Amino acid sequence: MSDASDETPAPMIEARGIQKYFSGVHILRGIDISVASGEVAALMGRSGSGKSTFLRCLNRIEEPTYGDVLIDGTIITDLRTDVNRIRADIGMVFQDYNLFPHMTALENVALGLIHVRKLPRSEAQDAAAAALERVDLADHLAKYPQQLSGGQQQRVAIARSLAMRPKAILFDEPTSALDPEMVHEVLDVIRTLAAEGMTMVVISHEIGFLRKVADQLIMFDAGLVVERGPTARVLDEPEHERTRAFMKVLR
Amino acid sequence: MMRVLIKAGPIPLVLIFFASLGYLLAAPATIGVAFDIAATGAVFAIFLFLFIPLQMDKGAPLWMKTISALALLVLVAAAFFRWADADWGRIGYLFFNVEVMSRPGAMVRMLSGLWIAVQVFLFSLVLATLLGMFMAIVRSILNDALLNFFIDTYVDVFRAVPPIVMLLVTYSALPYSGIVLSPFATGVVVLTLIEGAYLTEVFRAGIEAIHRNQVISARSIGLTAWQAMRLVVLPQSVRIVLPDYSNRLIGLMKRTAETSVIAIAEILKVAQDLQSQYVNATPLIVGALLYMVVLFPMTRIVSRLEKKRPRT
Repeated sequence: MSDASDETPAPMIEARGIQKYFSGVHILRGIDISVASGEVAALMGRSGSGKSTFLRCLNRIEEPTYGDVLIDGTIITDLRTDVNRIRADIGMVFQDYNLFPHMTALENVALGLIHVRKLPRSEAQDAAAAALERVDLADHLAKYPQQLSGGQQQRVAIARSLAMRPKAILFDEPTSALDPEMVHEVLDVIRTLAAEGMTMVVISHEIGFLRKVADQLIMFDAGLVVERGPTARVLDEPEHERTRAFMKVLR
Repeated sequence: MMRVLIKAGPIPLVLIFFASLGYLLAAPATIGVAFDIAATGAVFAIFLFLFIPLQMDKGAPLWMKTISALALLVLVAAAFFRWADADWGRIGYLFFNVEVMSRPGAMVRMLSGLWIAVQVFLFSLVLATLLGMFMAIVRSILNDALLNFFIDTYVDVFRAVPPIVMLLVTYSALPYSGIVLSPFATGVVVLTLIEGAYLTEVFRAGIEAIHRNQVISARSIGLTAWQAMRLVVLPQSVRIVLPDYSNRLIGLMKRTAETSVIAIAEILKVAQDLQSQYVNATPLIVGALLYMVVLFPMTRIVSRLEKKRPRT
């Protein structure tokens, strides 16, 4: 990578002209985004607008049909890049937590450290315990997912990503499956991460949370970005009629 | 009426049992065949009238159920004796002949048959497990259309041919290809291929029962497809697969008997050889008992496992 322009560093996450076909259906129709290091980008849009598929293209859990994704200046959509190496550097948190039910919270978090980062077991467990402490779960290390509440499970999932010391974390509707009283404990954790300078792409419809945390807001509709800009501006003065209609539904 | 009888406990049942037994064994058949048929039918009708509610009554003690079941067997035997003119002495001599089995070498040969059956079982079990596991994992990880076609064809073909046919065909045809295998090796290879086909399906079902999101989640951490399989999917599949797997395992032990047709000296082959040598069927009875010795503990363990089946 050339370092010709030091004053404008390469964005942490960049997507160029991402397109995706699912058995003939054009799900993503050319999407560009750019997320600087330490920035939080929020994706919004009605279900089926392609935002979730797009998020999964960013770590190649879905392969984009056309287009490139660059992480920290490296083109990861190049077939020669080691996709597992890339995924280890990008955390991902899912709507349904997707913890491994046969492992304790600690084992869930330590798994990647042992088998991807190749840390010695004891070191991995220490790092996993530290990550769980960061999400306020120090008392639940030995519990299995089914013994934890939804909010706690989602925080384990965040710790699982954090422990890998990722360059960025992708959140796919992290609070949509939670009971209302558990939403804030997960959002608090994400807010803390934002304050610590973690680069994040978040699919969320929690307006109040996004207003505080997200630097830019990107509106998806039918596989295209219809509007983007600073969060407060897009929320308060939406320019595109689709965005306006969507905001009405949310309120 | 029925309630009263059940409350009265086993005493009426015992009385009816002895009355019936007495009739079946001692009453002369001089009154006429029609009467005899009617009387025998009545004996069973009355007995079953008490026997069935007793068996269905959840409160009745187990020993009472067991004894009444044995009593029913005795009545059936008595009817058999009365109607078929069974010759108990002859039956005892042909099927339960201790003298025949105590001839030099008889029991030793039976036990060596057991050992060979167990060997066939263990070899084919281990190989078939590896084969089935390999096929199921390849199918899940590579998921390549051509490979899937070959695997599915293998599974379909080997599940569609009776083991005994496959054994005979392989055993008689293989030497013409220049490959000469011992009967033992042929038996193990054929049983492995057949069992491997079934186990491929068993393992495949177990792998597919794990939600796809588990794999996505594992891959998103940076685990390879094989690591995701080994660390996340398979440990969860084991508990799902175990009951089906252990049922196949019992079936495989029984199917070792079929290798007798290609002259593997396992239990059934030895028993048949001894049967014709001694002109006596006792070795077959002993063989059946040997299978039970191995299979009874296995079935007990399996039903335990099935009770522990995880609630999903």
